[in-house]
This record gives sequence, C-alpha cells and structure tokens, in this order.
Amino acid sequence: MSINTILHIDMNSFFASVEQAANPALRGKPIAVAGWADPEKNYARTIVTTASYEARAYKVKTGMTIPEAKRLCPHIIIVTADPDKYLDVSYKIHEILLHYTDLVEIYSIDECFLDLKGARLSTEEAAVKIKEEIRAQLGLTCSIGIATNKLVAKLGSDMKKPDGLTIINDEDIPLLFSRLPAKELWGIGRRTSERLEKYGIETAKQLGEAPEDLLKAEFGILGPKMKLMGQGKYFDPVVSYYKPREIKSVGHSHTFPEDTYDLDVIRGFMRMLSEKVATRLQKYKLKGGVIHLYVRYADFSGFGMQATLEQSTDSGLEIFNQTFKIFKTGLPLKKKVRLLGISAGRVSKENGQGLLFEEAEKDEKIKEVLFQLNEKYGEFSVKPASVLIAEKFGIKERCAMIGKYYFDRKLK
Amino acid sequence: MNITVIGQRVKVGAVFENELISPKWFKWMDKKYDIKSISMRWKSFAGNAVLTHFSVTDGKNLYELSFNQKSLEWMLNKIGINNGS
Repeated sequence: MSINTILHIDMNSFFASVEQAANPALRGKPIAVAGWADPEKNYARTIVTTASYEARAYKVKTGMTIPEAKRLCPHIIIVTADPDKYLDVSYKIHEILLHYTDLVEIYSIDECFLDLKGARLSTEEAAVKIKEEIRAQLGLTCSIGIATNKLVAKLGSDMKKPDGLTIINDEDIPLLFSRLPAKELWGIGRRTSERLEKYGIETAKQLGEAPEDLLKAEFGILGPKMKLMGQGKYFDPVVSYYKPREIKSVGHSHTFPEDTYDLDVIRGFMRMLSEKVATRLQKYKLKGGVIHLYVRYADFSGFGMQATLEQSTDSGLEIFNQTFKIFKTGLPLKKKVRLLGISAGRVSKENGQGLLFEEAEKDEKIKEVLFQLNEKYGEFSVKPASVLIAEKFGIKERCAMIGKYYFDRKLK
Repeated sequence: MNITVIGQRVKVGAVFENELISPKWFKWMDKKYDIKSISMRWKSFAGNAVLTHFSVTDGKNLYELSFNQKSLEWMLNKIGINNGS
C-alpha cells in the first residue's frame, strides 16, 4: 500500500480572509476584494478578485463586476486589493510550512504542495498542526488534501471548503473517479473537456480507460499522461522551495481607467508596460527573444501578435518599438482599447555578446543606471516622458497584480 | 465601513522589542490616538527601503500606519471609519 505523504494546501478565500484578519470590523461581513475602484463611477469597470464566504452566500463570485455583486448583495463592502499585504502573509505561510519540510512547492500565492516523506509526524498529524498554526498565527483557515500524489491531493483540498481536511487513499480512487467529471481534474480545462466529450469521455474513470492511441492522436504527447491522470496516477514530484524557478516569460498587462481611442495615451501605457517588462528582465539578468502584444477592446474582443527579434533584448525602448510596430498593424482603431498586455518570451540569460559597438555599450550603461535608480528610489522614479502621459490618464493601481515572480522580493 | 486614503506623516510613540515594532499611539491633526490593538503587520518595499505596515485600532476605528525603516518616517496611510455597516 502506498503511503500518503503529499499535501495540497489551499487558503480559503485568501485575499478577503486576509482583509478580514487585518480589519476586525470586516469579520463576519460580506466583502469583495477588487482592484482599484472608483466609487464616483460606481465601480463600473472593476471586478471582484475574491469574495468572502459571507458574500459567496449571496452568490457573489470572482470575476463579477462590482455593480453585479452589489445587485446580489446590496450591503457588500468593497475593499481595494493590497498585493503587498497578501504577499507578506503568503511568506509567513511559507515560513510555517518550511518547519515541516523544505519540499514545499509554491503553486500560487494561496496554494502550496508539500511532500512529507521521512517527516517525524504522520501526514495527517502534520496537516492538523499546520491548520492550527496558520489559524493561530495569521487568523486564517485553509483546506488541505492528502494523497499519494499532487493530482489527487489537489482534488482533495477542493472537496471541503472552508477549513477542510480530506484524505484520499489510493483504494478510494476507483469509486471516486467513476463519478468525478473529467473537467474536475487539475489541468483539464473547459476546452480539453469539450474535446474529450466528443469521444464520450465525461468522467475521470472514462479518461483512465480511454484507448491511449486515441488520446495520443487528439492531445499528442499529453495523451498518455492524461490517461494516467484518469487513473489517479501522477508522477511529477513536489519541487523544493529552494530550487530556483525557471522563468519562461516576463509580462505585464493593464486595464485602462477608461476605454480610449487616444493614440498618445495608448502609446504612453505601452511605453510604461515595456519599461516594466524591461525592468523585470534586467532584474533576472535575462533577455527576451520574442515580444508579444495583446490588445483587448471595449467589447472584450481582442488580438494578440508577436514579433521575433534578431537580437534578444532587455531594453524598454526596444520592447516598446516592437510592440508599437505590432500595434500599428491594427490601425486605424475600429474600437476603443480597454487593455494592453506586453510580454517577452523565449528568454535567455544575458551574456553581454553583441555589445560590440560603442552605442550599444552606452545604451547598456544608461539602462543599468536607470535600473539602479529605480531600484533605489522606487519604480518609475526615473521614467520616459511618454509614461507621464499614461500617469496623467490615470494609473491608479499597479499594472500587475500578483505573479509568481513577485516572490523575487523575498530573494532581495 | 468607509476607508479613506490619507497618506500623511504622523508622530508615533512605539516600542521596539524582540525584533518587533509596536506602535502605541499616534498624533494626527492635533489629536492623540491610543492604539488598543494591532491586528496585522506586513512589509512592502519602496525602492530599496523596507516599509512595515500596521493595521491598528483605537477601539473604534481602524488605521493603517507604516514605518519606513530607511527614512524612519511614520505615515498614516488609511483610516477605516466604523459606521456599523
């Protein structure tokens, strides 16, 4: 019999619970955490990032606009998101977990996997103790799933919320999976489940019994892995907290305070986002070989396009020039722009190659000085003039909310 | 509860003990506020300065204070007026 050593910890309604822990007056009340919201405009463009359980009782959900949430729960309290607060609490959770093992894998700001093989306590005892410590030290609850692998542990943490503890033994899997919709499995999204349904595969068990050739033909190399997932088998290990993460791309996006046709404003935001991407690349000592632009219009339609660079870059100006070139292919604008997203992909470690010319060296020196000034005095202490236009138009919130790489703060 | 952003420097009396900072009172607009409890502490960064934030209450309303460990400045960032809703 396999021993259950894997835990998946899912913080319950994390951002809202942190706000309730920080502010006693919010406890027991329906609250919604949202990005920066303008009450004068009746929060029309702001969406709910997290709703407290009290708000969920009124069917308020993540992704709803604030006016929708208010219709369902007129006395809901809107709290502006405070990413620094959530990150700091997340670090404190990591510190608690690292007392048990260094096999702590951060899956997101409010989810972690642990592997407790070789631990002094049994997995269940450790889970109970972790829940107690998180509650006592931070005033928060979490749901924990325990199993022999990450896939099933994650499923377990989802089964009882809030404050759950669910153990799924290997022998429980056949019955559980016979009723479990395949889309409930980690990594099987709506589109994948629609493709599975074409072959009459609706439950996890049916996925586990499907012919491997069929899955391979439909999903390529992922097919055999999906078949194993349908049998409750999953072999990816929990990765140590201290193992450096591989960064595959670096990006930022921003929703404008108002939809706009104004090219100066769009250009200003584009420059600002380009600088933010460049700053992060420089921080990680990376350069991007592909620049990707995503534009979302007022009606939520959008387009994305990328350009491959002849030479990888970490220059804000170069990223901006490429993105604006892509953007111009969509001109004249037929609809107002709502959101811009810029990312640098195909990243590689910078090695200084290519700095053969004096101008390039000068550029590198300017970039380095700008980076150091902004590190010392705060983001955008020194900025291109076009960013001023974007600021004038109204940057009221941080461009990016939470990404895994905000965790680099910890590494400072 | 109405939360208002303030962002003003304030005078604070605090105890530094066991690697923890505990504000005890603050003066804002000629009025002294005694801090009854600290419900949360967290950190953020402004450039290379570390800011410690405190969610505190005087028993009636909620206040967010922050301490810049580089400039040694205290700020009153927000006030949450408890109106019972």
